[in-house]
Amino acid sequence: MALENHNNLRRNENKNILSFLKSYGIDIAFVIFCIFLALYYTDFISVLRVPSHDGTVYLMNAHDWLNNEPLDEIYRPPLISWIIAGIWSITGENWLLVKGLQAMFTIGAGVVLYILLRKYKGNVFAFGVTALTMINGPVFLFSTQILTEGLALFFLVLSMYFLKSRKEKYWFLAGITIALTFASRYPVFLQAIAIFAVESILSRKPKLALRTISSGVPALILIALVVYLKAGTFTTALSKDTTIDPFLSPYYLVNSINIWGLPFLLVPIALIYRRTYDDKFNYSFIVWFVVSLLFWSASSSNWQFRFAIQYTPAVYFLSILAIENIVKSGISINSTIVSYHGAIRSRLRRIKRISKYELFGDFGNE
Amino acid sequence: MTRLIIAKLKKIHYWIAGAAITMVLVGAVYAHAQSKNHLGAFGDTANINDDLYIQAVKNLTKSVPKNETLVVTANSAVIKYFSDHPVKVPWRGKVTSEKTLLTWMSNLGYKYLVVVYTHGKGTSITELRPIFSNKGLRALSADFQKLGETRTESAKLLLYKKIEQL
Repeated sequence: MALENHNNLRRNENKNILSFLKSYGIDIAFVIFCIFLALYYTDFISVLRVPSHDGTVYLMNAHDWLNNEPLDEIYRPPLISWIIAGIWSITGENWLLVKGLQAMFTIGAGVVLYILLRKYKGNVFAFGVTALTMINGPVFLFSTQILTEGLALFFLVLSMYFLKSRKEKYWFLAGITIALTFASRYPVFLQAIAIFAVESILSRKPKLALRTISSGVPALILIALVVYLKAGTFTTALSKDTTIDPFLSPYYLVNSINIWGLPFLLVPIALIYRRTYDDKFNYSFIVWFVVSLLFWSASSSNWQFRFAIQYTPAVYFLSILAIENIVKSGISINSTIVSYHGAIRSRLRRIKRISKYELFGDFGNE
Repeated sequence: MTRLIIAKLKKIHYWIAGAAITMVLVGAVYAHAQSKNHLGAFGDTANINDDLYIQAVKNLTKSVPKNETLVVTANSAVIKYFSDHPVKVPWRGKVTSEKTLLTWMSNLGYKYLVVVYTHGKGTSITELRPIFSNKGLRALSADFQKLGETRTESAKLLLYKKIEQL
């Protein structure tokens, strides 16, 4: 009796472990992935001995904010320099202390993206998109430097997370994160606005959009005002980088495989499936991808791999969506085959009948 | 026969999906491995892993009086931050030869020149390449006095002072 109880207990335990693994197996895999990613970043960053040119400019601007000196390059977005200055105000000025700063934000962006997609698309889908984004070459390599791409990616994904919920307080927070996206990297603001516009239309609740505007506009004004008071002007880019060419550059399409790898080939497949447009959740990702691609391709002279970093999640979202569409549209493929088969048979029957009447010279008198 | 073909075709989407997943996995890993080759800042010619670079900049420029502007041929921000000197890059058409470099420096009161010689080039700015090529650097000695030279893992840093004309 005791042995039987013991066996039952063990069987229940095994059942519980199995059901736990079934429910959280992918989540555990994602946590392990994040740990390995953090170790990979640590390994890569630990051997960095010289900051990049742009990275050094952000360090100099941080020094200037901290010591109340004129900014070295006034058109640079201020957020990364503010964060560095904040850290240095506690620790003292040492560039080695902030080497890994951007990597933390990039990993943070991955975690937020996973949580967002897990909720709406399931954990396998979420893991696929997040893992592809995190191991993407430009995303990884530029996140090892003191730059703004990972920072902007984090606030952009966080904005989307807030906007995908339908709670008022989250839309209020989205206004602040959109403003922080602007402070991280000025041009990425457009991507945040595109996502905000799509979600506002889909929600059909002007009250939610007003919430975002009510927090976002003052935050934007505050950021611009602080920079203006410091620099005496507010410039978002060098004039040579702001010229737009109506004849879009094919740079990002020509280099798409080098930037995103072979998964990019699946993006057009995702866009031709009707299923893609049946789920309204996908709309903001589609718009995010299209607006970003058009925006960066419209530049008349400045095209770089790293400009593609912020919309990399949208590219991989569409790639994984294409796979999901292929798997789930099996039923429609079968029914298509059956209907084509039926149509061909009926046509054949008709041809036979026509031939018969023609042979007897009685065509049209059926 | 037709039924058999249909039954086989019914599974085609699984094969397509499997192929797509394989393509995504292999493609993503391959793209990651190849990305360093496409990004110059991380390639073999980059100095980001140079153990000696920052110390070399500090050592080379410590003899330059404070507040003196350094005319630099590359890595302007890094040299500015770690040498704690103002820097200026001679480009945008003002400097095209050693003579124009000299005139430009004299007009602005600059005395010191730092050449970052790396991978056979003294600069990445096309217009300045002849001045800071190997041959160009040898010709500089008529108007510039070489104050120092230091080697790092990825570059050779040279410090010159303009010879004052009497």
